[in-house]
Parts: sequence; structure tokens; C-alpha cells
Amino acid sequence: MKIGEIAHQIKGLNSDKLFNKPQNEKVEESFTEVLNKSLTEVNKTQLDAYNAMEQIATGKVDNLQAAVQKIEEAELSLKLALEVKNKALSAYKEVMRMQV
Amino acid sequence: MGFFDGYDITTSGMSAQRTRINIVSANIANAQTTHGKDGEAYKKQNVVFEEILLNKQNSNSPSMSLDSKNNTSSMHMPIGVGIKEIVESKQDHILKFEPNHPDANKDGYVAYPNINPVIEMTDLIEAMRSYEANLSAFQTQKTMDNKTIDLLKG
Repeated sequence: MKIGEIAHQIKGLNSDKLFNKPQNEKVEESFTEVLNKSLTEVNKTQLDAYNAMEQIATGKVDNLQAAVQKIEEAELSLKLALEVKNKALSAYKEVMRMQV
Repeated sequence: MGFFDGYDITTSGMSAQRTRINIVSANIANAQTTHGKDGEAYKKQNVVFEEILLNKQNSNSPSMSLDSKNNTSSMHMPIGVGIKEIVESKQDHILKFEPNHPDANKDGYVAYPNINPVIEMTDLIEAMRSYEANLSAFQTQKTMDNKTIDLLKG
């Protein structure tokens, strides 16, 4: 991998984009929007899993392995979202602890 | 490949093997059935598998794709297994001389299904082992994903 390519991708290092921003560049999503969107998706998997659990509990399940798959997916999604949130928070705290 | 595609593949395998177990069970249950749906003796059924493309693109799973431009190629489409069809065996029936049987023909012979319970049992065991193999693949992927997520801790 060329180091120059990485530097190209990091916008802060690219002075062209820093000083005269092109108008056609799409607006970056804010962190809140990204968080909101991903939380909605995680919530959707949770609802699916609840549905599957209900079907198992009431004996209406016709595809046990698919139901179990839904539950596992929901668990992993939630776990991943939680860890990403923890990571973002710890980064924020790290910045806040910085001496000025 | 999305984050959850591996689970789709193993689950398709589990579903296929479950269907196979059902069919083999039907064969064992009907091993002595002399009066089938068309008046003839039961015919042994076999399952035919086929590969299927699991292309439910970003329908529900958060597919953590960091570079979306490489994701459009269909090369990385996950391939699962599905049931193509369930075929009836073409083997002849076994004729037994039982003149008093209600399904006996005019010569007094009764047609029994050509089903060997020993073969059906080995089929059953094979299907069960395949199911367990898919289960192991699922478990391995789950362990991998869990460990990868644990990387974010600390």
C-alpha cells in the first residue's frame, strides 16, 4: 500500500480541500445522525428477535434455526453497537481530560 | 459480504438437512404402507439439493461496509443450499404373497415399498451429522465475531 494514498484520504492533510472546499462535495453526516441511524437498525434487529422469541415460546415457530439466527444477530448487533458507543465515549472523555 | 451473511449460509444448510430428516422419517414411517395416495404402495422419496444465492442486499443487517464502491460486484454473493425438488424413487415394489390382504392383486400378491430400514437409518444419521456440522460453523462464526467485538474493549 502506498503511503501517499492514505494521506490523500485523510482530508486534514489535503491542503486543497482544506482551503477551498468544493461545492459539489456531499454534506458529511453528523455523529448524531450516524448514531441515530445505526441505533434504529439495531432496534429493528431487536424487534425481529423479540418476534422470533415469541414464536418459539408460543410454539408457532416453523423454522427454528432461522428464529435462533435472528436472536443471535440481534445479540451481536447490540454488543457491537454498545462497544462502538463505549469507544466513542472514551475518546470524548480523553479529549476532555486534555490539559490546555 | 455482509456481517451476517455467514449465518444465512449455515442456516440454509440447517434448513436443508432438517427437510432431509423429515423426508427420511417419512420413508421409515411408511416402510410398510401398501396403500398410498394413488392406491399404489408408498414410493421411497429422495431430496435433491441445489445452491441458491442469498442476495438480500442491506435489507436488514447493518452491513458495516467501509468501502461501498467495492461492494457492488456479485462475486462475493453468499451461496447457500436449498431444496430443488423431492423425487420419488423409481425402484419396483416388493411383491409378497398374501391373498387375504385387502390390497392384494388378482394373483394374491401385495406390493410393499422397496424401503430398507437400515439404509434409511444411515441416511438419518448422515443428515443429523450434516446438521451438526452446520451448527458448528454457526458457532465458530459467532465465537469469531464475539472475539472481534471484544477487541474494542479496553
